[in-house]
Amino acid sequence: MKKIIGDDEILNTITEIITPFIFVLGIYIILNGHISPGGGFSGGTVLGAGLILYGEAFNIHEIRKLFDFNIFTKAISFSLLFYGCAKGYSFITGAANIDSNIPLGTPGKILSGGLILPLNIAIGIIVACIIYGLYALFYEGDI
Amino acid sequence: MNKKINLYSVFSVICTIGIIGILLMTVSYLPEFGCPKNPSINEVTERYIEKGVEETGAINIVAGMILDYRAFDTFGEAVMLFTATIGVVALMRKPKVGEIDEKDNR
Repeated sequence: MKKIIGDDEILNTITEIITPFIFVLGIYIILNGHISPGGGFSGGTVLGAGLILYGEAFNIHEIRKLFDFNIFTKAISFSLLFYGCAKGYSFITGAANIDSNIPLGTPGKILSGGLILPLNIAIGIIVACIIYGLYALFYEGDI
Repeated sequence: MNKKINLYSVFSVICTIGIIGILLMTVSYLPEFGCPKNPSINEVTERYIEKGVEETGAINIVAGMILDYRAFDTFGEAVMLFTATIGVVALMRKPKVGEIDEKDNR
């Protein structure tokens, strides 16, 4: 018998069942962004919506155990920094006609597309953090 | 005081009319709709469709465009989201009691 933290028992039970599938779907959309429709923005939105659902059904302090303000700022800042550095390197070498040494791989595999997969992951992290962060800031006053 | 407000309103009306005139003149210089020599119909679209897979390595052509050819546009979108959230953090966030005490003790 699990301890129920929120008020609504139906919402809690459904959320417990459905939340892992939402997270897996979001991660799948992000990782397959260069093969199938999807990408960082849509996958990050799904992840953020899952976090919001979890925080709404249970107490928001449950999320703070693994996702607080420190991790929030660090995740967003380092993702943006990584994006800028990686794509800046790619553009500089491309403009100067130097080989950038980024392997493209065979199209259709997961590990292909050069920088598209890491950039998708960075965008997904940023969007998920921001969707959940705006909800937590407006609802609770703190992340 | 009353005269000042009148001057300001007259000046703003003149400014607005001038900007409207400039913008309407610019509209008259736009190319004709559907003309085959328009700058939007050029070799960029064909290049994206024909050589996209070979140059970016992505089957999803939209991902190839927004994250490879036009990656700085996406970077701008991400920076815009980041700036909006930092603004909300600066306005809405209530720091915890411990954080304020730490700052006061320093």
